[in-house]
Amino acid sequence: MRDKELKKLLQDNVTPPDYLKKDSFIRGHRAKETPHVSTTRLILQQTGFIRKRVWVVSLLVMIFMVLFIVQEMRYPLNSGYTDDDRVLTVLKTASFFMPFISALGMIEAFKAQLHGVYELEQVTVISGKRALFARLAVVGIINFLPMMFISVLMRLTVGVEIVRGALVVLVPYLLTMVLCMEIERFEWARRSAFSFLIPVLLVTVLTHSEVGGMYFAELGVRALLIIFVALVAVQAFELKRFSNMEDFAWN
Amino acid sequence: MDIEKYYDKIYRYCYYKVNSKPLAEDITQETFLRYIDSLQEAREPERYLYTIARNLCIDEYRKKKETELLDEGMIDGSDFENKALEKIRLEEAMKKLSDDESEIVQLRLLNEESYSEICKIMGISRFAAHRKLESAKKKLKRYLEKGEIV
Repeated sequence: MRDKELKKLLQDNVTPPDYLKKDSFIRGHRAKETPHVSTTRLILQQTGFIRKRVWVVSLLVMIFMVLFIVQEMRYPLNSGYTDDDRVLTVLKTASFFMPFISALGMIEAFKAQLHGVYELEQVTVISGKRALFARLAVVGIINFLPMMFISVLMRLTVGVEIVRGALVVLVPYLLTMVLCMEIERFEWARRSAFSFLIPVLLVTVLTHSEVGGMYFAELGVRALLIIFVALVAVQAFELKRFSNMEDFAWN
Repeated sequence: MDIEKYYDKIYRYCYYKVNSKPLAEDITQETFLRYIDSLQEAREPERYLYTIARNLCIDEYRKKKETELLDEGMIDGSDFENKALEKIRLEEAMKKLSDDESEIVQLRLLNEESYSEICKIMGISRFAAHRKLESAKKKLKRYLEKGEIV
């Protein structure tokens, strides 16, 4: 008898373990082994991965809006250029930048998908969806601060209601975000970050076109609020769907 | 620690010691549970796992004197008799080996552990491990071929 035969005889003699029992044990303990990363720590960790350009663009938009409003305030009001016209110009300008900021943030949040490493991110100690949500949170904070600053600035200078000012900047931002999340699902969109320009252009055209004899910036607080709530609901649904997708992938 | 990597090895190791599939499964899982509970992360998990498994098997021996039952995995199949005989012969042959020899056969032939790993697990030199393995193989082969033991 050769060594190989002896080895085979010994190995064949073992009845293999029950697959289901083994699998459930391994799955159960794989979860226990995974080190827990707290949400705060995860957000701080992801902050480090947000590229400088996101911060810089937020800062630039803020500076631009300050300069623009200062310039507007210097512009004399007359019968051809009333206070309402000034408010509208400021609101239009403020909302104009939002799709760009939003898309830039989304590129940052979805960079794992764009670089084709999302599957890798899914199997790290923190799940892919947690990493994505943390990045979205960081990007949201980075963008939210200048947006709020602009709203307050508009209130102090041209006298736009804070809620209205905030909604005028938030709605295009959220709409771009939702559309970016939608197109991110397509294979062709994931090939290049430039595909995120499509939602930007769509939202820009939509918010700066006259629809029914009215511009987006002219909408009242109630209408803006309804749109905003609807967008938040869609966004929540999108995030939930995204979260479920990872679970389906695992199963 | 990657449980998946070691699960089958520990199971096979336990299987030869307790000669029962459900018991081997239970001991294997208990081994991992004890390892996870007692140690954060050992540099050489294999060594700890084998030690825990061995101790658990010894405990099991103490609990009940092993009655030689045929495993349920053998009950099915057309060549039942041949398999049963082969199994009995192999188990008999394994019983003829000393504890160290049986241990080394399980580690080297069954689980294909490297000599350096076996030396760490058993706390013996490479030369001693090789010698014991050769001796065990010789005994096993002789018993299985001729039904006699040296």
